Amino acid sequence: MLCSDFHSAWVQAQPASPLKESAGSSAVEIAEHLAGCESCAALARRLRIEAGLLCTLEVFPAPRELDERVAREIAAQLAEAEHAEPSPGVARFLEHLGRVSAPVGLDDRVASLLAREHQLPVEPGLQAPAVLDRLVEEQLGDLPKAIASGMLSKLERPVTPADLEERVHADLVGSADRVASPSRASRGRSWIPLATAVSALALFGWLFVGGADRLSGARVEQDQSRFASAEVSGEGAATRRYRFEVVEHATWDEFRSAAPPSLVSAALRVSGDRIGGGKR
Amino acid sequence: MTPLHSNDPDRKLIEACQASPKKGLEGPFRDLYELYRDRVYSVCYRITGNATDALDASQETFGILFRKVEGFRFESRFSSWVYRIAVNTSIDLKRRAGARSSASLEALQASAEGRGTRFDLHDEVTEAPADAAARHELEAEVQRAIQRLSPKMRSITVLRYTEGLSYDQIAEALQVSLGTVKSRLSRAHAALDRELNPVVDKYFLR
Repeated sequence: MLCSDFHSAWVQAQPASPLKESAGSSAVEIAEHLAGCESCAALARRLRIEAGLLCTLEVFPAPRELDERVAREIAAQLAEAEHAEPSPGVARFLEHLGRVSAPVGLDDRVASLLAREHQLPVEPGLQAPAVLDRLVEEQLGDLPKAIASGMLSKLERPVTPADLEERVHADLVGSADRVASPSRASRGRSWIPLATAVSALALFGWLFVGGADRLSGARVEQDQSRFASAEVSGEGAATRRYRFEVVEHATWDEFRSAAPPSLVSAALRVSGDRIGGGKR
Repeated sequence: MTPLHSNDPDRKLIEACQASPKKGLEGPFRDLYELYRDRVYSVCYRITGNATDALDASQETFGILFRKVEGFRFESRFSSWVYRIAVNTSIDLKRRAGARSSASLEALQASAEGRGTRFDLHDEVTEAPADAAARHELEAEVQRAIQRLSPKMRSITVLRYTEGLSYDQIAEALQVSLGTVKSRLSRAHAALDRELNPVVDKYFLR
């Protein structure tokens, strides 16, 4: 046992009573350690004395004053409980009490009070329309909905920012420059499909560099949508047809950086097929 | 699941309290109060360190017991529950009135001078005045050392030495693990040893 472990071992060895002699294997271990360690033996002597001092601290009996205070405390609790709950007789009496009707003149008095307080032109004796009862019934029937709709009706419509229209317009123009679409083409921008068709053709021209002598035909055209078709046929090979989404690319680098990977790899495969001798 | 303490020595008394309608400090609750009166006060006194706070804490403890005894379900020993309430009430009270902690010394001095009620194991008549004075001084030193401990270590020391509870009982009362009890007690011993070392040397080892 290390000296640093002695303190906790000493506490461990006294489970039942603070003054009981240590027992068990840990007690033997402690005794062996104390036999060879003077400083821990001195600490053990001090701990025994301190434990003895703590155990023999005087017991202070509660003073008589506590009896009175506890009696008062409990009486107060009972009185509070009595006030909180009516006696059974009172509870029965309260249950049998009926609802009292409002006096006849109450409406008039409330109306005149409101008129005076809020300067409202309320006519005494004026009857609420019958529909009010139905509306109130509906609201009470689904109170959460009524509260929610009441809150929503108070929400103010936000004012459109002055620059919104300008920003939307700028955004539309900007996106039209980036992507071609049939709708924009039909709005008179007919140069876009033409340009893309030319771009795609230029791409295929590049793809077939070195194998062009074996090509019997390569044709790129745009159909009615934003897709372009590329039809490639070679000597002794079946015609292959590819379909591309129309994008505005003029060079291979631009095409490769913007086209989907599948399309890029398809283009490379076509190129490899043709350049490598046209084998399928 | 918490084991039910069917063999709780206070079981019959508690069940009597639960069965009878509340009659104030009469009937079965009076017996319960008499049984725990001094234990509660003693724990409160040792933790708060002065008679005024001990009275307040004891009153509050019995108020809580009266209010909640009906719902006690023997998931721990009743005595553990009482100790827990007394300890927590005392610590809360000290926390609320932190500035009043210095009053503990006045209370000790008052008791050392023989004022107030006290139950003494020693025979004051046959004890020499010098011995009695030395003993009171020693006890005041010990109480001061206890007061310097943190509330958690103070509670564990009081339950262990003043009330003589086993580690299991302390763990149940304070709702902590056995390991926590041992480690806190070990730290409390180390702290007490630092405080009491000169006193022990002066009175016992010289």
